[in-house]
This record gives sequence, C-alpha cells and structure tokens, in this order.
Amino acid sequence: MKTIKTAINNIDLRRFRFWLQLFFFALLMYGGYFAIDLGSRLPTFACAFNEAGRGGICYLFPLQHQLGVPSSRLFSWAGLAVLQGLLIFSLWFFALNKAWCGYACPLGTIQDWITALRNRLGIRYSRYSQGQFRQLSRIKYLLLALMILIPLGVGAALLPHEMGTPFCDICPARMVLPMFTGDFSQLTIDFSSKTTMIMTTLGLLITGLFFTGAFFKKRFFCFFCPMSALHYLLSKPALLKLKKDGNKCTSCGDCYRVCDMEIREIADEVNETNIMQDDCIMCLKCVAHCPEPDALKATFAGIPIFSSTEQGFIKRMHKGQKHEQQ
Amino acid sequence: MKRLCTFAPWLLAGLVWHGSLQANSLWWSESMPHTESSSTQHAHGGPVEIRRGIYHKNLWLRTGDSLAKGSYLDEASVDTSNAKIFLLDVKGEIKPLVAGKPHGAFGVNFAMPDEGFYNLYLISEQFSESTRMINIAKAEVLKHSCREGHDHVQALMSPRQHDELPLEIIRLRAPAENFHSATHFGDNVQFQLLHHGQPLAGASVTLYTAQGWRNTMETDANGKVSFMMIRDYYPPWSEFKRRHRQDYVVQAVHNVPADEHAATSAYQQTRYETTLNGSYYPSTRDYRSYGYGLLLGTFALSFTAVAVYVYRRRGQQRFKEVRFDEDN
Repeated sequence: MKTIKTAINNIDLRRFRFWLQLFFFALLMYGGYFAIDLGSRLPTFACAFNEAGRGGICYLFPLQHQLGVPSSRLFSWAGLAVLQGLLIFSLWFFALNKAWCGYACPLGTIQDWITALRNRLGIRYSRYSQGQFRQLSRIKYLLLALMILIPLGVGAALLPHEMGTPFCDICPARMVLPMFTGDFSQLTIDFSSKTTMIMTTLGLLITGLFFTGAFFKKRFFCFFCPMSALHYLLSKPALLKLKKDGNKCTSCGDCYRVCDMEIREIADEVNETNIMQDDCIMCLKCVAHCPEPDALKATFAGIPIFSSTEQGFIKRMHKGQKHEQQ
Repeated sequence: MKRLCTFAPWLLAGLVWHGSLQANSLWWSESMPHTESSSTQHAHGGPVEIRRGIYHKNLWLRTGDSLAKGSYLDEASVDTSNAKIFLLDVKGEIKPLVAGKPHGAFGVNFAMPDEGFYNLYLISEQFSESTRMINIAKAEVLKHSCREGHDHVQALMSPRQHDELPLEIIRLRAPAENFHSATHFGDNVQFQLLHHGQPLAGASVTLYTAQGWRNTMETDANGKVSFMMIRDYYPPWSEFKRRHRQDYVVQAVHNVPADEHAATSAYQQTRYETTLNGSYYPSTRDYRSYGYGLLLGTFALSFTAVAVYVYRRRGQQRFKEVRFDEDN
C-alpha cells in the first residue's frame, strides 16, 4: 500500500495529465462514432453542435433550452425537468469536482495544446496584475447570470426566440469543437434575422479572440467560463477536494508560479484547509510542484489520493530539467 | 373501426385525372384553419398541443386544386358514413379515430404518448359508373421531446407501412436522419410507392408545393422515386424567416383493370389514389455566410495578435542614459 502511495505521489503529473486529457478529448469528441453517449447533463464542454462525434452534451445547452420554454410551462410540470437535469449534472460534477475543467474539458485541452505550441516557439506568456485578475474573475458570474436570465426572458416572450441559447451562440466551443470532426458549418454568420446576425458575429469575434488569448495567456477562456462559475456554486459537497495544511507551508510561492489560473490564495492562504478557489481547474500542478510533504493534497471522499512530497518534487524537477535540455 | 364517412362530392369530382392535383383531392394538413391558437406549441415534428404533459396532434382534411388554395372541410359538407380513419402508432398498433372539428374545421385530434412516428390514414371508397375509387390520405407525424433523451432515436427512425393498404407512399429516411432533421430547399427526398405492401414500379408520382410547383417522376423497379425540393420562398429580406414552413403533398394514382380485392365485380377498373403530406424549410445556404464569418474571425484573431505584440513592444523601455551637465 505504501509503495502504491509513493508511486502515485512521485507520478509524472505532466505526462499523466496529457494522456488523461487526450482520453477525455477522444471520448467526448469522437465517442459518438462508437455509440458512446454519456447524456446531456455533462459538467464540461462536450459541445452539442458537434453532432457527428459527440460522446455527450454539455449541460449548459439543455439548461438554456429548458429555461427558454414558455413561462407558464416552466413554472408548472416542465420545472421538474429543470430540477431533474440539475440533479444529474450535480451527480456527475460531485465525482470530479472542478477536475472536469483541468482534465476532461475539450476546450481546456485545446488551450493547453496551444500553450504547448507557444512554449515550443519560445514566446513568453502573459500574466494579469492582481487588479485585472479580480475584475476579470467577475465576468464569468455575469455571463452565468445572463445565460439564465436571457432564456427566461425568451420564455416570457420579452426577448426574441433566437436568443434561446445565448451562451452557446457566443461560446468558442461551438465554433472550434465541431471542426475536429470536419464540421465547419458554425464558422458562418447567420443573416436570417438581426438577432442571429449579432449573436453569430459576436461568436466569431470571440472565437478569434479565443485563439489569440489562448496563445498568449494560459487557460485564457477559463477566466470567463460560466460553467466554472456554476461549478464553484456547487463545489462544497463534491468528493474530490484540494486541501492545504497551512502549518506545513513555507510560502515559497512555487504553487502560485505554476498555477495556470494565477490563483494567489494557493500560496498566501494558510488558515483555510479547503483551498479551492472559483477559478481553480484542479489540474493539481500546485500539488506536484510543492516541495513540502503533505502541505498540499487532493482527497477523494476524505481519503488522500495525491500529496505533495519532497521526493516527488525532486523527481519531477529532474524530469523537468531533462525535458528543458531536450 | 367500422365507422365510415363519405366524401362523395369531392371524390366524384376527382374522377378525371389531369396530371395535376385534382380539383378535389384529399390530403391532411398540419396548418391551422385560423390564426395560430395560443394552445399550440412548436416541437420537433411540428405544432402540437400539450395537455398534462401529453402531446396531442391536430390534423385537418383539406381539398382543392392547389395546396395554397386548398379549403378546409366543415362538418356540413361531410357526410360521415363511408370511410374510415385510423392511426398506426409507434408500437405498430392500429387505433380507429373519430373525426371531429378541432379549431373549427373537419379533422382529427389524437394523443401521442410515445416517442416516434405516427401514421394517420383516411380510406374512403366510392363507386361511379364503371370505376371503383379508393382514396387514401396519409400523414406521418413525429412526436419528439428532447426531455425523453436521444438514445432511442435510431431504433424508431424506420418508416412503417400498412401492408393491407392497396396503395401507400412512404417517405424513406436520409442516411443520417434523426428526430431533429428537417427537409430543406435543395434536399433530395426519396419516396417509395407500395401496392399491398409490395413496391410498385413504373407508376407516376407527383410532388406539389404550396407555391404551385409540381414535378412528376416515375417509380423505379423498387418503387422508389426521388424529388429535389425546389426553393420557392422569396420574401423581402426583412420578412425572411428561417423557420418558414412550406407544405408539400406527394400524390400517386394507380389504375388496375380488375381488382381481386374488390367486393364487387361490377366495375371494369379500380382507381387508387393516395396522398402523403410533408413540409420543408429554407436551406441554411440561403442565410448563412462562410465568407463574412471567416473574415470576422480572422480579423478578430489578427487584431488581437497585433494588439498584444504592440503592447509588449511598448512595455520594453529602451535604456536611456541620464547625463548630468557637470558644468552647472
């Protein structure tokens, strides 16, 4: 048991994460070709518009769809369907918590690949100032609120029907993910009405911004993702947790420096045990780069599954140096 | 099951086949006789009424020499004694239906509790001089709600037929068709004509659109015939609706000199006529542009890339030596 635990703590997280992300990418992007269907309540961007290959559907699409039904129906029996959807979504989410973002999200994986490309080209990445970070972090809550309120407005006949899935209209996943199965039909402007024209224009502008942003900034879009905001609102009862023992932390700042999401609290916070923040994607890079034994750890249902160790830190550092020398 | 109704005036006028939609052919229609009712909701498969969570479908019987001008029947013009209306449901069970007057016109209203396709048939029989006339109006309607999920869709996609019918048109499915699919301008739609459940080769099948276009094709050896849906929707751009639904009717007529299935041998020929209604929509090619889309996407990508480059260049302050004038 101790040997297994040591092996896990010494794992090459970079390589492990790469292969796990690739597995989820194949599952969610091409699973449909193998009759795999994980349902339409997934807590990650398995895009509904990737009709041919999708192995499941992102929950945000049916959620907007359900909220956009006429108000008289929504506040009667159809409301039960919304609650049922939320329940299934929560069950999926509770298993992996925000690791859905760090390991399963196809759009997140694409951003990591773009980051790897930039790294190979030797171009430096950008970081936000703390002021910028705080401002930008709020955008995802604004998008989440709009994503709920606009379909409700459609259901109440206050807004045009074409705005029934407003976030999907502007989400870069709608444009980017279907391209991996040869579907380029989302790269179009829809001129059939003013609303669709505005929404598809916004969608393509954001897609252009997504590629540039992801190139210069690690996990650029994740700062604005309303799915991340929804995750955080439900994260308290999740089984997978990120924990910190402040007494063992020396505030060296390694965890902050490796964090793609630039979460400062991971280094500064020494009182809270449950350290996960709303922007966290649970990639566990902070745990892998922490040299203090058990200062940071990931637990599943209270059982530690991956802890920071001195041995693991040194091993990964050596591998990192070899990788850089190559 | 044996309840019959007569459409005698309509059928008698339909005796002469002109090669175009006959003056009083019968077909089912999903379009409401009056302005849309607030009780009607749009779903995959067309308009429905939802009562206590169960989808209900209204279909009206129409007649006339064109789809656009086809009139709705009222109960006063219909003598209900010489035909039958029944439903072939998703489970393959046949259920008799009683016609009524939903929303003020002659038609039927039926519940669709299960997901899948329902076939509605009206069969009427009429005799005139030396001809026995069998008129079959068929409608195929879909019930689908995304709440039911999509795992079961492929198993329910195949069209069903009623082998006892003397003449039936079935719409064959496109290769990747599912419950969300719709027919658009430019699409090829394939039909198969069956005579007592067997493919009927060499028969003429005509497709009529609501705008008055028609096209006649002959069935191949497998009884199949294919039509390309014509683009016949040209409103001013400000009035264009991408969900504009256009109706079509496919009609086939088959005459046989003697019919072994006829109850009487006093007639020299039996004339079978069948109709199947459907709908189609504008093509995405009519209102979506790749050119503008790619232009905008490329512009956003290039603009932000240049902006980041310029921002970084401005951040790199060149070293400036500060010199003091030692004389002062």
